[in-house]
Amino acid sequence: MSKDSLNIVSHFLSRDQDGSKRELHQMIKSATANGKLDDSKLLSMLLEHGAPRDSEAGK
Amino acid sequence: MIVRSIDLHRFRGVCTSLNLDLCKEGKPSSLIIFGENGTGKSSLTDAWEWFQSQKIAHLAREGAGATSYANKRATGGESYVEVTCTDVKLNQLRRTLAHDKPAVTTTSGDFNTFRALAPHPCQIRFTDLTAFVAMKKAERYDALATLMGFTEQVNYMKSLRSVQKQCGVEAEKAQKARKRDAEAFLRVSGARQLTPDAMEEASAALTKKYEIPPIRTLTDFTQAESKLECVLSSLREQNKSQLLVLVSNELKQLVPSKKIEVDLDLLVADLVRQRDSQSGSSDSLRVQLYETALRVVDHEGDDSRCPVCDEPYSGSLHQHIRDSVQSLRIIAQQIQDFERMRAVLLEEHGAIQKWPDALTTHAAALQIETIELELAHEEYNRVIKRFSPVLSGHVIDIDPVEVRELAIEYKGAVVHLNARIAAVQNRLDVKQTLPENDRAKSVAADLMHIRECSAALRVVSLSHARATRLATTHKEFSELVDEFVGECTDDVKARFGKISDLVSDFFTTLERDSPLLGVPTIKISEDAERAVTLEVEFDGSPISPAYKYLSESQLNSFGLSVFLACVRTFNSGFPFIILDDVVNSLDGHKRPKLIEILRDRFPDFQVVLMTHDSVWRTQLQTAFPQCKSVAIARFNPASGPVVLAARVGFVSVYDDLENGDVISAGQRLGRLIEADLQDIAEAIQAQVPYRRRNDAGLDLLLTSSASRLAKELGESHPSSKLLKAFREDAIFRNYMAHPKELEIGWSAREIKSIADNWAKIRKSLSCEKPNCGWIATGRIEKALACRCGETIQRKA
Repeated sequence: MSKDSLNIVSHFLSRDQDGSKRELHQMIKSATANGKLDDSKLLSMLLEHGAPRDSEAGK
Repeated sequence: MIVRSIDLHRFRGVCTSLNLDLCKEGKPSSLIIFGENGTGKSSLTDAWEWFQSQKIAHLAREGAGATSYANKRATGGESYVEVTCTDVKLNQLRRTLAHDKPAVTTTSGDFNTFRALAPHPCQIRFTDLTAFVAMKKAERYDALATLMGFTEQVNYMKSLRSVQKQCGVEAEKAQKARKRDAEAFLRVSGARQLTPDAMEEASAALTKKYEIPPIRTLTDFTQAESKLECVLSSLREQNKSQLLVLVSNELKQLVPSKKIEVDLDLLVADLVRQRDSQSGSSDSLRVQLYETALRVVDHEGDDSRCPVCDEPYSGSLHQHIRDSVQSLRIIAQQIQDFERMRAVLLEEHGAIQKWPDALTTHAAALQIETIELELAHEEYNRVIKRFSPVLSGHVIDIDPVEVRELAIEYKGAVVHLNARIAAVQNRLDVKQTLPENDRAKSVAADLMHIRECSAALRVVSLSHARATRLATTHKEFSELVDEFVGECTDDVKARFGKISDLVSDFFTTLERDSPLLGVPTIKISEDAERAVTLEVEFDGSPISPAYKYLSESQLNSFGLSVFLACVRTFNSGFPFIILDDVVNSLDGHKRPKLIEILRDRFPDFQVVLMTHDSVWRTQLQTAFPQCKSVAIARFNPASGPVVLAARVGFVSVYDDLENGDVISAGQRLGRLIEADLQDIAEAIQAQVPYRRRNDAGLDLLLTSSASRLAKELGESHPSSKLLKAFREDAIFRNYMAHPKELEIGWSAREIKSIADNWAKIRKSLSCEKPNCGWIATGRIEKALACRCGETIQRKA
């Protein structure tokens, strides 16, 4: 992988995010290995994140 | 020049080892590799790509992965590519793969420094360039990403966009589910809309009926559900105590006592025992007699025979009578017990069991049939009625067999009766689970409605929560992706900005002779990521996109320009290029332009030029005489490509003559002179007569060039004289008539003579400095001058 390409990706991953996006950003990071993104893993995490909590079910 | 050698070990087409030495006279040099198709040239390009990037893209596009990298015959060991550099930091770099784990590679040497110096791919193939032709915008962007070395970030961007799209699809599905679930709730509840007020309105009748708080939320539904459950439970309990319990108790009264069976069995056993006794029940009558005899015997003394039973006895008469009295007392007791038992059976158990009339009424109210139970009860009473006749009379007259049969009959009746009682009880148990009256039915229906509403609202609640959360997740994720894509776009724009001038320069040079075609510009669409367009000046106006106006060859020129601009810009720390058959689609007139670019813009780069085109090879050798040149003679299945040192340019003509290969020397000389004359004619702007086949041939080229030279320099100029003499030379004229015909028997002397004469003309018309070239028209007024200005020939 070229250094510049790596820099763009790693720069994106290393940046701090606001509170609401921090968790999503963390998911992207954990789904990334060696500069490559595991699509299905990330989507799975996003859908889990988008699932309603138990506390929301009774409202 | 940075690379000293490239070693391939059991990689791709190399079965054993291939050492490609790039040094000439001990120093790294550019390299011209000539080899016909199928001789294994591209293994080198593949090897370099894998060495640099750990993958081979064109194989990946065909679905061939790491398992195809090692030579097919190589198993159980390892393959590697090793590059030896002049740079002391890099020195020797090696990438290795084990055959049992081809996807995992190991490296030795300072690859970090190498990657920092060469972030951009060093190699390009003809196929990489042709890919431009049939591409869509996004594909072209990806191809440019490959050329410009930002494939990884583009792939990352594509992955993020793919996830974003799928997440969006899921969010959309969740929205639809929410709408569908809400409609289902409205149908079930009767509410006009999904609001607390509407829910309260729809449930007003229920809340009033049961005096419960208004239902505005899911919690309210749950509380209403609990309330109605209590009401229904209370009603059921009430029904159960009033009727079911009553019937159940009446049934219990019908159950016969187990004691009767026991007593009957005892009675039978007692009767049998008495019948088996020798003395029989009549002996009990003699108890009193023997007791009187005892008193008499006390006064009258002993005798040999008993005066009471008239039986002989041993010992004292008194003792004999005493023993007899004892036995008779036991028998009397047994008879008393029997009588008591019989009295119980006859007076207590033998009583007819009355059928409870209330049971019939209550059971009918419960819609439970009791006919079979009543029949069983009658049969039971019939057996009971037989107790009296069988058991009455003197004990001695009672037949134990008949009593035993009665006991068996009784037991059968009991079993039958109990079964019927159990059957009715089962029906009662079932009845207990159902609401028994209209009031309970109404409450149950209301409860069912509340439960359905509650369940539907719970589903709505869940789908609403999911839709909301997914929408938020998708929105925030999209913002993150957009952020990354924005950075990528900026980065790509910056890269384009860095190379755009060079791309324009190279493209303009390659397409200098293309009519109407002007300066190209690379543009990224602002409204669509991964959409890149090439704008080109066409007939004086900017045309975008330019692809529909460009020929395949022009597109290849563009791709080649981008690649060269990238390596020039981004790989300046590692000036090394591999050009693998890139001129395949370039017209003959464009090839010298590529030579011009390489010579003028890449003098500091080490270039490996691979070709299967012998004419292009000769042109390269002529243009870059200082370059090392090798030829892949053939492909040896046992070892791989067979590389031989190539004979270069006019030197090769003399080599052939020395080796006695006159025919080869003659053919080679003809091609070399023709190539030179093409360059000379172009440089001095000689006017060559038009030929449809564009095949000027030696004669026309020579005549036109001589004429033009004489016009520019004068017929008395030494160069003009040399060219004229060469043209009129009888040996050359004979050779020129048949330059490509093998059967003509040229002599070595003749070929050498022509070569010597031509060498004088080359010396006269070209600059001696490497990387310069022929003298040309227009560089200096009223003279022919080379590019560097060192060689100037003025009109004589």
